[in-house]
Amino acid sequence: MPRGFPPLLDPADRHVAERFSYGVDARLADEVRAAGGGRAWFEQQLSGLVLESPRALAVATWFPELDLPAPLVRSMQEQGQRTVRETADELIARTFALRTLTRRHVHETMVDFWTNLLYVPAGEGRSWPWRADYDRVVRQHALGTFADLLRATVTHPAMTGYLTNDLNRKGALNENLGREVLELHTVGREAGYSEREVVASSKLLTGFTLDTTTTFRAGYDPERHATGRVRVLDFTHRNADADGRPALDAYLEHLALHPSTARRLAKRLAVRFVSDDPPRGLVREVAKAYRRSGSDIPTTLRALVDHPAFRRARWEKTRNPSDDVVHMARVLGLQPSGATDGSAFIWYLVRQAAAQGQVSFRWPTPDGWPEHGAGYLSASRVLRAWRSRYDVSGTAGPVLLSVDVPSKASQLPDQWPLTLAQVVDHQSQLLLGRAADKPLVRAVARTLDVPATTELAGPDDLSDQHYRLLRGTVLNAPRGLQR
Amino acid sequence: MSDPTTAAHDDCGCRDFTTTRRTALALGAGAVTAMVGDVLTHTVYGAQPRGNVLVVLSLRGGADGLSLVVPHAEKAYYDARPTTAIPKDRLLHTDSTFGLHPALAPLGPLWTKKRLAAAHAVGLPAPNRSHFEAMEVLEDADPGSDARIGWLNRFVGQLRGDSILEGVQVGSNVLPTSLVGPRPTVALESPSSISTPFAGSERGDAVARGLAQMYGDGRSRVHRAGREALELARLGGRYSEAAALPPQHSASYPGSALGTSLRRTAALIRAGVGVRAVAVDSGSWDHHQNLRGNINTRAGDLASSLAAFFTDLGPDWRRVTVVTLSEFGRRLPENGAAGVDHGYGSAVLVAGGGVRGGRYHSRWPTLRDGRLESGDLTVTTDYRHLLMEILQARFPGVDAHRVFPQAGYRRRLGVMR
Repeated sequence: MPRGFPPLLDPADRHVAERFSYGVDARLADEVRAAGGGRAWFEQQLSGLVLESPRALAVATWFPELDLPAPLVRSMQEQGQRTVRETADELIARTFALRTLTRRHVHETMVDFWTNLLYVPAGEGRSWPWRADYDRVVRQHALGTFADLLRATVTHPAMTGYLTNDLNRKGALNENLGREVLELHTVGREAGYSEREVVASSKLLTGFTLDTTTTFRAGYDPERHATGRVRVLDFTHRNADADGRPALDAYLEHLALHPSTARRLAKRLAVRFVSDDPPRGLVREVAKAYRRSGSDIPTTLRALVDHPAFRRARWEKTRNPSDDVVHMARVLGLQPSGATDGSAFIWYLVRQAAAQGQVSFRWPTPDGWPEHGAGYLSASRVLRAWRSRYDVSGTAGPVLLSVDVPSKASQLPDQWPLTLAQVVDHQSQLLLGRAADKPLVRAVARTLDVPATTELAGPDDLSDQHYRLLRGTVLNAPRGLQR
Repeated sequence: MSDPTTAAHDDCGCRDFTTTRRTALALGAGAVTAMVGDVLTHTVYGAQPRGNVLVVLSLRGGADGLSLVVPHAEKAYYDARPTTAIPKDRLLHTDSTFGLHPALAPLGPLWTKKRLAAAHAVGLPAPNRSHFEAMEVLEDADPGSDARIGWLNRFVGQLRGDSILEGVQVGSNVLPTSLVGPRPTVALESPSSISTPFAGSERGDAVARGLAQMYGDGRSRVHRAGREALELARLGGRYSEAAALPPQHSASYPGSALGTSLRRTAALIRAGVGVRAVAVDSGSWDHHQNLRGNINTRAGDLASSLAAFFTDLGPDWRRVTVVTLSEFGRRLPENGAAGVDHGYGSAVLVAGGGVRGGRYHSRWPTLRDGRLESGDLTVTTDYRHLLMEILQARFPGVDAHRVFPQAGYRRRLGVMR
């Protein structure tokens, strides 16, 4: 093959952006270069000073009813103006749209990570009117400290409803949330707490109220708070006041800063952002940074990205279906422009993630979707991913509605003539971030039923159908599922 | 391609297998499809000799065994559950100790025909009241090893069949822990779109060859998944066809997720694609509140889905054994929300081929003070021993001790013939 096309980004720079965005498209590559490289771009992203793209800001207007106060959402549902399912689906579609259009990549990625840790499904019966507000709260704290994030989420009405903490009261404890705060949200089972300590944890959480039968109004009632000394791990408190919230704050702060929490979060971050089986040394370093900074999220992430094991883990992660459909849209330059009805492209992405078996916020239990990538590589999922590429890789089609599709010429090289093999190489750099290998070139030639040596004079020499098949096949290379 | 349905069943020499065995067709099933077309597909495959099937139905959340199979002779049960205990006169198929929850009524015919049994005080070897850890322990079932390999994967691995569909999760595209491991297994959310792009056209053939080229030799997990996908595409059509037909024998499934999954499981079994182990999930068995209403709904759904499943299977029921599993039972006493929190021992239902049905099997520990585990029903039958008993009865060629390496020996409960 003649000299290939240069990569969009240096591999090390690309690696940071691959892991902390939903797909490196030409625009993001420009941003990384303008920032002075992957690490500098990452720092810029952590600063919170990145201006959001106008397109992402406009997404808020697509779903005007999503952010109404929970009791109002509930009354609309009672009057038949809105269903639980709609409310859940809109939150999912909005999230997918933001992931596709955002310029605040690291923020969006971390919102996803924390949402999956402090997990409340969308459309769950006891929490649904509050779920969009829960999303707002996670967004607010996603790059702050975990201590603040934990307090804001554990005491949020969505969590209260989901893990039945409204039923947890003086004289009639309900251990649901008290247990999961320990097991899932903070220290984990390895911390070795007893069933008595689960009870103490539940006791600290009493007092919150939520009317899940009619209004969905939330509050706090000191009458329902169980007072009395508590001990959980190395935390003790007199818990003597009728209002238990200060005691609870102290408890959650203690849990957030606990070494077991540091280890557990470090491991989970490493599984998400480094590899399914991350090196222990990296996990240790990340945990140390977390503890020393008092659970500061940017400091923790810096330790992860700066560790040599992070740099060595290029292309080791596979994308889950929700990440993959957004990635597909991003690298193909598809920008959703609205969600007027079910035919809109953004809804196609949600349906496609569902067909492939994994939609954010639709995991049924409080542990969130598994962070391991390899678990999503079921044969059926792979078949559906392969099929979906060709739905979206052309210039037009039944699923390409309410979406801006880039022109063919804008996605192809400037300089012609080129052989088919060279065009494949160009597309491979653009869509996969690597040069085309021989099996890929052969697969494209076979699919188009023309020799790889065929010379093309310009974009118009590639029919729309061939353009679609070429791009779909490039994305179907094994690398297309990796990051 | 060799016909996967003609391999991997000779390790089953059991009675039920031979009764359904008919004259094997000399042709591979694929060739038959090509010759006779879709119309006859079902009947033709229906005549294929096939082996026994194990269906593991996971009741996710921690099913309350004390409500499903009620120990009505225990005063302690009625004392601990003032608002949620089921009165004895409402129970079905009572013996001197136990009775079935009234919502299980659709299973009555199976019970009467002795195709359904219940086991009690079954569970993990040690209490674990965490959903996630208990489920992981239950499905990995190899406490001596750090490798994340599930027991169904070890089981299917021993069958040495060549069908990618030998071990299947129906109803989700994500593999449960029980199926994860070195033997390729498949999670199938639905029977649609199980084919390569443009399948059935000339273009489709070219695309499939291109994919085979790209995924052919690589050793990464993604390459392996691609090869499995190509293999699945070769069999998927038969499953899709079987699933497109209405249920057989006038079976009527509820529209629930479980009903849908079991309807698809029946189609998968009928399709003759070499399936031997199926994992099916039923969710929402976490009864922290409103036990009474929750168990009514869940048990009703379970019973009507399972009843329809066995009706649908027709004579094939003899080669299919269903077992329900849950990560733990519930607390004996009610909590403040008329619910029950996480407990320990639970009940298991076993139905279908090889079952000594119409009776309760238990080394019942009672609910007396000294016999409880932290106040809850204890476990006298390690779930692994129950599963080993099923495997030994239904898959004599499989070494159950290699499926559950650390389980050791224990006298059989007698659930299986």
